[in-house]
Amino acid sequence: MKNIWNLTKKDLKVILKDRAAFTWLFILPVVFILIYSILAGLASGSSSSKKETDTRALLVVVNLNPDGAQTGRFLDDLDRAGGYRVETTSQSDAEQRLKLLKIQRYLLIPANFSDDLAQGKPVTLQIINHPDANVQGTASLLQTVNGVARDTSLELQLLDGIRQMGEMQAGNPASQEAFPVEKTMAQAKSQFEHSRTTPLVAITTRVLEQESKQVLSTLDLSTSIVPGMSVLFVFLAAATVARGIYEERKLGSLRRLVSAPLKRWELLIGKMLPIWLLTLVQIIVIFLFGAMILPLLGIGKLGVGESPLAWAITSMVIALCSTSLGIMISSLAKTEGQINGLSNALLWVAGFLGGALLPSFLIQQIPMLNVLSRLVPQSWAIRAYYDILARGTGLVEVLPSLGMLLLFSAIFFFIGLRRFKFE
Amino acid sequence: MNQTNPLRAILSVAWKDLQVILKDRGFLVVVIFLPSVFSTLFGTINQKNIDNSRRSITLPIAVVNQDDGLYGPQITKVLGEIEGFKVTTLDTPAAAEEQVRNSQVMAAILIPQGLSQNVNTYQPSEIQVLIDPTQAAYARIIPGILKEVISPAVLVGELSYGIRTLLADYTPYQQADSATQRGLEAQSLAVNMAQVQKEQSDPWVRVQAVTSTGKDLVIVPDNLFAMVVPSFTVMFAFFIVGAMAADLLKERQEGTLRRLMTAPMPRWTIIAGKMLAFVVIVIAQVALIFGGANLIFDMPLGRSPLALALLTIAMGLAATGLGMMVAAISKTDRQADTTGLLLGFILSALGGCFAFGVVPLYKSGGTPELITRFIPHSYALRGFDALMIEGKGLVDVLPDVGVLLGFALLFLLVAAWRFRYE
Repeated sequence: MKNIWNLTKKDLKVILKDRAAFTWLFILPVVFILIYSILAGLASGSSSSKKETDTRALLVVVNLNPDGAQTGRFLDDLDRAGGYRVETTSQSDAEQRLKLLKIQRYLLIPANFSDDLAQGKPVTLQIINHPDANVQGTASLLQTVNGVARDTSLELQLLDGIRQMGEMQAGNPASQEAFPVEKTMAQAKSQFEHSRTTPLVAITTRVLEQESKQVLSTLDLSTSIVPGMSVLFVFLAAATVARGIYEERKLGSLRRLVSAPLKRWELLIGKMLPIWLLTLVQIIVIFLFGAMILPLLGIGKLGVGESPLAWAITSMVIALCSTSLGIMISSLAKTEGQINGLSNALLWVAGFLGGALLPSFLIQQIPMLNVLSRLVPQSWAIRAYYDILARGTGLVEVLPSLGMLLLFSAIFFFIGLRRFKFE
Repeated sequence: MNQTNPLRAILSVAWKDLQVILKDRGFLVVVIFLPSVFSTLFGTINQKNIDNSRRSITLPIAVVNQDDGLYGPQITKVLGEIEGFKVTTLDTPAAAEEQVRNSQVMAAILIPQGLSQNVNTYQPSEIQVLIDPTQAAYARIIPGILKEVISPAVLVGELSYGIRTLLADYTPYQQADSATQRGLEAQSLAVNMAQVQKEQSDPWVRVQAVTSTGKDLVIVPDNLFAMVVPSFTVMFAFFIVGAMAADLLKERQEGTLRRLMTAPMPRWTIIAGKMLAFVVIVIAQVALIFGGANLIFDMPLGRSPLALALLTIAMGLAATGLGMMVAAISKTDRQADTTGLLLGFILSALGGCFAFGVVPLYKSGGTPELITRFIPHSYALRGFDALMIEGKGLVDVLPDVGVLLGFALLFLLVAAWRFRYE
């Protein structure tokens, strides 16, 4: 035990002096998370900081008739109609967002909307679409706006209809004076007002109550990016382990260690322990960064979930898996080039497959990648973190993922032990 | 002393360096394997995502019509004709609720008993829409659509009530015989039909869907690989910076640089030869990856191979220039390697190599786009975009080529100022 600890202390000292390793372990992850968060925040239109409980689709409206008597009511109706959350903005802002495809379409209310309707003139609303807008989405919006527009113009429809009826009665003694203008207008108005409080056919919506706990549908950046990035870089640390061991072998100090009165597994564990500790520090640094810096950028706050114990144990298991992987790489790789290039490359690809760079639900759309992602330990690590951080589950729920990680660790360690050249 | 022909010197240095580089498998993996794999993965996934978002989805809904009059069946029929709805008719509200609960349908529309009767006698009624909470985001648009579907019935109910009320208030009508009254009812019906038709063809509030014709709209490329492949290729092309700088410093540390300098050739030819070797690597990288993507994913290569070649060479020079500059300001090969690595990530991020969604940073307007203007990567990306997505020609990318060469020159000047030959 003491032997192992002595080895650990020595290795920690060596690694801490190595600037390149330091960069890989601490600076790159933090820089990467920062860049990734900012870019993803920009792309998602920076609405990520506020939790969206509103599941309705955003409808951007450019209201060129903001003071109109009818427009306010029309927009309220539209917002209440169901599917769309109305957000008014300036035309230049809407155009800019449309241009960058942040929105697929916007609704334009003309400046003469209220005046023309008040004077009984028809008006035209425009839904302005991006050329790449989903056709079906446009059709649905068209129908909804049409439906609301019918309600808004009910008074005009009634007036027109009754006027037409009156015109047909010219010469009919039983009804020729039945539809004088003032009476008609009063009738239409009263029916219109009545329809606003008591519609002839009301549509009521009932969202069935949910039985199971709702899965977070919104993607909070900090809970999706930070775990992914931590896992990516924690596993990249495996290459650092491998390089350290490789260099010791090259310099001959490994041979000296082998000749020391140490058992082989003691030596391997003595090599692994410092890295494991360092990896834990790395995880803590990344999470501290996520908890302290990301909120400053308005990217949501990162915690450790509802069970700090589950988080801590998961972190330890993930670090163990990465360290074992490092031992395996060092026992399989023959040259420094293989360690640097090949293992880094494979770790990046595996990290990608595991869902470190893109959310895993996107990766799982493609069946082959879905299968591949399950074959890399990163996916289990990210899943465990995601469950703990985003879904707030406890230790019990992540046990299957942790079990898979331990299985991977055992396989890596076993191959490492078998193939390790103690020389 | 008899000096060698500079061109020959450059070529022989480049040849030597190429041989050294080609032996470094790790480096080749980074420059060629990683961008290929990332392009393939990102491209496939994003393409799938775009296809999904473009595709029309079918919303399965259930309709329970309990109305035995005219309107219930009419509404059911119109709902069935809406593209995008897959309508199942069920008999009881309980059966519908069951299907919603099991997410078999997204929503159920319950048309109440006596709807037609109520509408005709101007009594309020209520159509209920049950929504599946797990699919609420899609299902919530159904009530809005339903509003349009029921609007003819509402108009008929309102208009006939209005006419009825006014007539009832008119004494001659009350005194008229029943035949006259029936005649008036028939006329009222005709007016109703006319108004419903007018609302369909020439409504008071017309809603028009138009496609924006703004000229600088960001268009999603048909083949997303044309965006993803250049992004990763440019990103990893600039990863030669660290390797190149480290290589140069290693030569200095190991003394081979000194030996080269004692050879009978001008100093600058050593640097030029090294740069040439790395430019060749970049050209090979672009040729291999773009060629592969063209063969496998039908990625368009644009109509001007010459422009593509010029842009690639300019990018290679900018990257190697940056490599020289990093070598000049670093003290050890390890430091150069790390600096190159960090620069590689940071510059590619700021230059717009990572695209979230379909709008790359260099087209995103505002401050982010302004930042990309200071990064050489963005000019390479912009150029490839113009050639491969927008199908432009040589003349259109000359400014980008020029800026890349400008960057190369700037980097080299800094390098020449700081580099120690020894």
